Amino acid sequence: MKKTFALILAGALLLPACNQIEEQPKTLIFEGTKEISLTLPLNNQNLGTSPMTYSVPSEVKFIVFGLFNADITTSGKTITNPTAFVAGSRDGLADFVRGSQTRASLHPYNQATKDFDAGNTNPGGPTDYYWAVWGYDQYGNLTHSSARRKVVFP
Amino acid sequence: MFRTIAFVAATAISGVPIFAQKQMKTVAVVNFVNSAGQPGLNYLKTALPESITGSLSASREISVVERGGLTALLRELELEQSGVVNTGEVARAGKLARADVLLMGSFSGNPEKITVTLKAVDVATGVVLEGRSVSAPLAEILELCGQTSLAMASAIAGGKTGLVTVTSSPEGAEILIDGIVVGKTPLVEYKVSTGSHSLFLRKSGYREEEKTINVRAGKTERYVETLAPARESVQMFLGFGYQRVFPSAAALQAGNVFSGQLGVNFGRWTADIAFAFNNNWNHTYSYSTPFGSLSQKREYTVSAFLLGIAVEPFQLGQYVSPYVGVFGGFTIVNDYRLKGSDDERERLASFDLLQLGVKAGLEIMPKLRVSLFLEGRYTAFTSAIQRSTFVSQGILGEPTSTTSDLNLTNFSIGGGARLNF
Repeated sequence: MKKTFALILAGALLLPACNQIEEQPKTLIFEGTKEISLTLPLNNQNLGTSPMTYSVPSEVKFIVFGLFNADITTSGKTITNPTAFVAGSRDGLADFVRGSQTRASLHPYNQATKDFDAGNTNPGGPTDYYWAVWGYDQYGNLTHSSARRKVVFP
Repeated sequence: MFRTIAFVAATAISGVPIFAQKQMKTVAVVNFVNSAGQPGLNYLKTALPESITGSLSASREISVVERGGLTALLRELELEQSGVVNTGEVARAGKLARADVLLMGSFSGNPEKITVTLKAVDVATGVVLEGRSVSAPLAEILELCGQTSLAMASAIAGGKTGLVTVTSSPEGAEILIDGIVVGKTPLVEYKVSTGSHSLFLRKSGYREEEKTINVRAGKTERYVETLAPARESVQMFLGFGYQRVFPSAAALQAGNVFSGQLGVNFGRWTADIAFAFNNNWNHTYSYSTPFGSLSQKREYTVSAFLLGIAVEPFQLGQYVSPYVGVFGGFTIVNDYRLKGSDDERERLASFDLLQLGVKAGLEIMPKLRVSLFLEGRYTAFTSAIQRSTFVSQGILGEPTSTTSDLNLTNFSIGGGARLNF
């Protein structure tokens, strides 16, 4: 009897906790692409000491990690608010690690060159940012993308 | 002086030298003998001599006795009744007719095929100067005998002659010399006047052969002809072909075109309908990206429904048939780009065009059930297509595309096989 009571009590306490886990965004930022799944942090969570992680299919040849100071807007396969694009990293940069992006290894986005600068940047906080990852095949076709997630830089 | 002028004038008017006229032999054509046993053909007894007399009157080598006065004479001699002529009768008849040569003949057979034997006999000696035998349907026999007698005129006149021997493979080909049927191969030592003659051979199922021969006096000219099998007058064929395509535009790489044909031959002419397709006509190009220089791999596919017509301009012998022609038709061009590690194809655009072209080729062993062909083509299109190429927009997403005209004009060379039926 005691056991049954204890189980009911535990369930009653855990259910509200489960309801607090937010549904993660699923809409890929670019139409007609295959998914790159984001791992951590979850949507609307603080960035701790751990890097931002994601899982990339092996057929993706080139990866771009993007950090925006506003929600990411796209049309078809093009980002339409490049002014919100503040930092990121990509294949080809020296400190780029596929699948894992630390705050310290971000590079500022250059609106003129439409690419990242070689030097690093550390976006300030506390601020809300949006991040996403997209990938290209060996011909330069945009074939993969992730959903967007909001992250709070403390 | 007056005599000289008169001589020249007489020569000019007659077309024949006066001394030649004096030596010209006179020929009398007597009635022919009906050996056919068909009373319905009796009219040929006089119709044939009349036709021959008319033809011989055109000869400049002999003169012909007018048959109007000859008939009564011959009836008197009963030559036409018996058909048996001995040397004495010939001499008598010849003298009465004031002829040097009597042209006699007989005919046999039926209206479908009448055989006429012609014999020119020298009145003075009774020697047969020339003999010929011709066969033809009733409708053609009069004209053929007239032509044959004209061909005999040279021998009758005592002109220079030579001999012609003609063999063919296969045997049994009908031989015409100067348009006159003279027999079938093998033809051995056939007498003809010296000089240039046309030799024509024909046999059902084989190509006709024609050539000019030169006959020398007293010599035997030998001709051996190999007759090529003739193409059926109307012949269908089903074909398969491959062409290597070399585009004029540098942006395009060489490609492959495969085709299937259904056609028909009308003698020297050929008409066909074809379906041609090219499944991977590449147009790879490089462009700059933040990741370095990348090559964009693209492909065109071309599907065409074509109508063509060709003609064999000349013959090249038994085993090879050249042809030239034109073709044209509706063409669909699809523009694809390759994506991903598995080269998935994504269609970017589609174009409907008309193509026109010229072709030239050789058909090898065209008479066999299966023949081969080698062909070159030049193809032009009524308009260019819009070729889209990537221009990098950095890392803001997919590269943007820009378009430019691309002319698909090309030269191709290839070959294939045809099943003739």
